[in-house]
Amino acid sequence: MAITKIIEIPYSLEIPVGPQHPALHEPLLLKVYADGEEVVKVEVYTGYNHRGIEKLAERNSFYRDIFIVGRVCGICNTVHANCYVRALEQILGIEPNNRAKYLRVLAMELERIHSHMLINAVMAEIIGFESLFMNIMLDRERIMKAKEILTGNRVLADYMMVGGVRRDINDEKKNKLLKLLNKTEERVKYYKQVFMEDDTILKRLVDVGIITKTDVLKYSLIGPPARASGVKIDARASDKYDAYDEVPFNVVVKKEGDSWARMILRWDEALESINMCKYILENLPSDGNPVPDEKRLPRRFPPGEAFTRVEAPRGELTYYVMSDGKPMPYRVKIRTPSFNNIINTANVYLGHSIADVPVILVSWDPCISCMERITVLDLTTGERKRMHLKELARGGRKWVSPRYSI
Amino acid sequence: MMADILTLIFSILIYPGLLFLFSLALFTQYLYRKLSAHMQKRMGPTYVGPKGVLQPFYDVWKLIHVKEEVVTKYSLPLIAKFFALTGLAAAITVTALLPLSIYRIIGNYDFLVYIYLCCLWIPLSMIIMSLSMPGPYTSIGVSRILSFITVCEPAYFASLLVPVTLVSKDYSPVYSIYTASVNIWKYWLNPYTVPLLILSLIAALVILQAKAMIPPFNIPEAEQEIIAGFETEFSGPILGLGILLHDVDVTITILSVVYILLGGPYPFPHLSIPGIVIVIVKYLAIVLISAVIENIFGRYRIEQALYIMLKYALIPALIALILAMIYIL
Repeated sequence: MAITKIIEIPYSLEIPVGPQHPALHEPLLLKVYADGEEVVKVEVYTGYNHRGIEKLAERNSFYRDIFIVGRVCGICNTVHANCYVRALEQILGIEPNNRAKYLRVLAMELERIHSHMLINAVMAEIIGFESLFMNIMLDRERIMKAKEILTGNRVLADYMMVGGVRRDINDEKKNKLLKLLNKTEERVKYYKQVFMEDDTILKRLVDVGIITKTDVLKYSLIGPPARASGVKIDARASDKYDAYDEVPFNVVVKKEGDSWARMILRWDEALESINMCKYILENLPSDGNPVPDEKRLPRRFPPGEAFTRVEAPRGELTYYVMSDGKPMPYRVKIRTPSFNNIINTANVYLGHSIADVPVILVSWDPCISCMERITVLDLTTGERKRMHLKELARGGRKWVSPRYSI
Repeated sequence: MMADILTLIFSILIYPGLLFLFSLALFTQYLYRKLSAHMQKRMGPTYVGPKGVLQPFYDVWKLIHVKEEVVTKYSLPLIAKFFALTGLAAAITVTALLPLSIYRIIGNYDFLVYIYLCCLWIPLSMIIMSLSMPGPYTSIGVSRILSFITVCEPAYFASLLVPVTLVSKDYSPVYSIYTASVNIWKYWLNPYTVPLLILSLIAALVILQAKAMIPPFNIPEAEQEIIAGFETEFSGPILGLGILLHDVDVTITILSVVYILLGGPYPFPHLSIPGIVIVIVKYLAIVLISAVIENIFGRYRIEQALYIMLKYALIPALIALILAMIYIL
């Protein structure tokens, strides 16, 4: 008798990756469904770290918000502050001098170097290469030291202010920074070589989590994941904000589109950033004091709006700031790169093994605290609802004038 | 008769049984931690005891005496503990077969008893312990251990069978650990048998990494992928016993390489200064090599690890075994 019917019994195991999981340094839940070791479905859940920063920014003055937006993300705080400060400058019509612009770029590039070193170290740790993790983190300390010399703080720099920066540097500090950068350059080159030659790294990263150029454009990916798939997208090159029009640099692009390409691209970008920092230190203009007098800054902001973008270490970061003439901003809207990169890439995990899930996730360089959005849970009915962008823009109010909504 | 019983009890409870084996296992854990820390530019354990040497003892003591046991609806903690003790008992019994023991069990084919206890009961205890405390990560961890065992244990058996087979040609009792250990140094001086022993040593070192579940083969307990793998649901005393069983397994594997493959202290007796020094140097050298391998590799995926084990452990060991068979003919 011929077989007429086959009943397939699907077997899959639900494995929660996160929100507290050793693979992730930040809270995010990936619900991974696996058939044996093969991943068949992934659901991305966020919402474990929502702090209401946009709302907080609307309740504080324009100047206080510089410090609040700096706390959106610990690692890329300078770019957040820079993006917001430039929006304020656009509203006020203020232009900082060249020295201040150069120093801003220096701070942001130092941040890019240590961010890229951090995520490469985390990748080493994810694939169980602890000694490499420890060594990269140790060398990253040099950049943290450099950031401390420049801004006064290792992590949260609070360096940007309207019309300039908070600190200037002298020749002694310049020499110290150059020394630290030269030492780091040597080490970064070495680590790049390790990532290109080490057997376990190649075996774990090459051809894992490939995303094509078409998919990058389809899912609006940005930053290093997009550039590693051959899409030349970089806000520094397209916007040329601050001193990026004067400081020479190359936009690094790779074609492979896998996890390995994304990590190597970050090493290349770190080397590019080191060269930029050195160029800035050697060609720092002296066209005035970069530190504006805080007492002379305008107290009132005219009604208006500004939209600015920067290239954060993780991709394009945008700020929309609206002033209605009151001491506090009417609206501050932040669009972070991780928001695009993490939520839109759940399909990349499919077909890989469970061991590859953390590798692919880390290769996007997730910054969870940047990307939190809210889910509304109705306690009486138990209903869960995601808020749309429009509703978020209304700030919970039922109705708002179309003039002020996005 | 009475003296025999007393020697047996002493050898089970004190040396080289319970007390010595547990102390050596935890000291080996300390060595691994300290060496790895040194290579990673960290300090490693420093707080408990001189230079932190008592840290692993304190950790286990804390887990067994202080920490609470967290159980789920489906957990069977008593079964887990029972099998942890079974595994430890198997490990203690194994020490009586090594020349290290003062109560030596020597006989024809005692090597097979060693393999039965070491390759069957210890991994089986770990697996049953893990299955008694089930969870999603645990099931993946156990499935990974089972995949490992299929390649790792035959390779371990084959690599240790090479010296035993070679020695059995000329000496009796045949296929005995004691005979192999006492005489294998002569075969390290024989130009025909050295390549075979080198091949089986390479295989044994690769297998040590796999059995100890340290990089590049720490796949069943891959922290960043599946939390702690087969150990995820262990807590309190069960975790303490699990750690102890794992360390004891590592120690027994290192001791087996030191005694069966490298010949222990021989030609010097145990109770002589050169004998003691040779044994300690061999033991430390193997721990050092293992720690270096741990720190120069990341972790492979399971299929890559199985392929590596096949390539660098099972095949060399089998080639060495076949050549050893040809040699004894």
